[in-house]
Amino acid sequence: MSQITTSSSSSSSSSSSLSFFVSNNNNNNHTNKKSCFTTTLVSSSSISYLCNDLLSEIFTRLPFRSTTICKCVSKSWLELISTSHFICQFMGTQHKFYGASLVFLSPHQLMLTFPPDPYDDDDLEHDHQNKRIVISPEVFIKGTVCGCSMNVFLCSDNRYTSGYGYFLHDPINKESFKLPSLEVKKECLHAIGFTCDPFYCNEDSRRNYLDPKKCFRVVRIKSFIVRHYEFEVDVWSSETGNWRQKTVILDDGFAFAPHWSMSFAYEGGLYFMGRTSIFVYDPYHLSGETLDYPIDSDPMNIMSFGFLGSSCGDLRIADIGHNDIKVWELVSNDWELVHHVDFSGHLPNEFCADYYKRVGGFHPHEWETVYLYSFNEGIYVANLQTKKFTYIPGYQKCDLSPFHLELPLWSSSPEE
Amino acid sequence: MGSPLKKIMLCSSEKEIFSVEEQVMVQHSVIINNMIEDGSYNYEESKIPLDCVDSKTLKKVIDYCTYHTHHHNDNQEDLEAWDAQFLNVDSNGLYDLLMAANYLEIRNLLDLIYRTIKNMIKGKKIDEIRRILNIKDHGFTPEEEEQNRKEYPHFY
Repeated sequence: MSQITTSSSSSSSSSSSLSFFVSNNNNNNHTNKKSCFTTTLVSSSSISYLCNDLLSEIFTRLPFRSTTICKCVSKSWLELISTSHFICQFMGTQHKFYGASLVFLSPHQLMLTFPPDPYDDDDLEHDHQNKRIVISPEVFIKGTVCGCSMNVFLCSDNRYTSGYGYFLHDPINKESFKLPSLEVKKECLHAIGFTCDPFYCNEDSRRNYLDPKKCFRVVRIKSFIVRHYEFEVDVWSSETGNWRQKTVILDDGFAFAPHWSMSFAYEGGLYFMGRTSIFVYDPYHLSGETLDYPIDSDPMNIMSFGFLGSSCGDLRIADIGHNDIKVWELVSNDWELVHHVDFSGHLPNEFCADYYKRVGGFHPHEWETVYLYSFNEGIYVANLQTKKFTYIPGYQKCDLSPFHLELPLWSSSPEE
Repeated sequence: MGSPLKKIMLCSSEKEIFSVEEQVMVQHSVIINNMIEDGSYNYEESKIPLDCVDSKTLKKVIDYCTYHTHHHNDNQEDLEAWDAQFLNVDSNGLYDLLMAANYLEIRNLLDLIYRTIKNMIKGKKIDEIRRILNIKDHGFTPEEEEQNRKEYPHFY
């Protein structure tokens, strides 16, 4: 049993902690801690005065249902638990990939669960490496999964590129909601996006969270591989329940890649990887723009084997070569190379030699951790800082495409 | 790493000085470990000022570290029983300890307190949580509170 907190937020380097003691310089890394203390001096130690960092640590250990109850306990708790940062931290702490179970019923039918409450069963041995969880049949998602946001899936009862038959599925309530059909021209491929902005309806964010059908957006675009400067976007809104069509005009134009039709949802925007640039569409403000790939990167390789996603709240791109992996982070609209690791010698030769190896995803809150995957060899967890590569057994010969390893993360035991 | 005989001085917010075996604090507090490793602690002159930790809390923290240093080979059950007894304090004492453990980065104590508070919240209803944690001002307007009670009666 590990007693060490796994949260990365409190780590500190030796030199900076020193300055914390001997000088009064406000070190950015420690401002949070300082603020914890100012409050102790002022207050007579009520839990209301604990700083958010400490409260988050407590809340992330609670079962999902308890966190929803905590939202009604006090307004400051409601605000804290409603932040996307907290949600990310909660999901990241409770649901590591070690504990996740993914079962593919068919190449595009996915079922996944997470074991209940790792912090609850203090006596249970956490032998996640070798144990698979027994799955109850209620957590099945039937259909092609083509997006997920705020614990809700967007699925299609057809191929997800077909442009019709979309429905939302909430695995916690086990409810589905069918989107109205749109007219479809025959044999057209569509790109699809799905997002929920928890801040968009901030007037009543609590109710929005408990009723997750609100404030979701589904975006459908007829795919094209020749550069277009003007094209139509269909946006479905959960508030109106209807689709509306908007025209997007781009100065630089955009072209989809033939084999890539899904988007990554990040901070209210949908990121579609294209042949030479990334199309970013904001379905709340109905505006679009393009974003370049990192300089000197190979967009087609990124699309085929790399990954666009986020970690610790930052947008990231990863690319994998024969023996190396690169990770870029978007810093004030520029891609900054944050990791470049040669993994030859660290990973088995079979994996390195596998042409179809790819980056499966980023860890949601451990910035140095990425997941590597190949059809034949399965999944490795890679710590790019320590160059430690850990094998997760049980995922060989699993077709994890087109859905990425950065999967929806929700508590599997809302009812306890 | 420090030698077992060396002592270091910790100074509470009341300027009371506590002399502790260096090894005890180095093993448990990330921050003190870093200071000693950096060589920034001067054994002749230094005392570590902990302006935000009062004497009562500091004494508890030192008790915890000392016990766990000398009893780390005890069986798990005994240690847990000792921990439970150790945390048998009122909620204010618990928050003080939490903040001190956070300040000094004593990770196993932090985790222990987090779990303790978690268990105070888990499975409880809203009114119970407010009572147990002594939350008097919840910050909701009477209308909001009424709305919540109407909407989620089973939470209360």
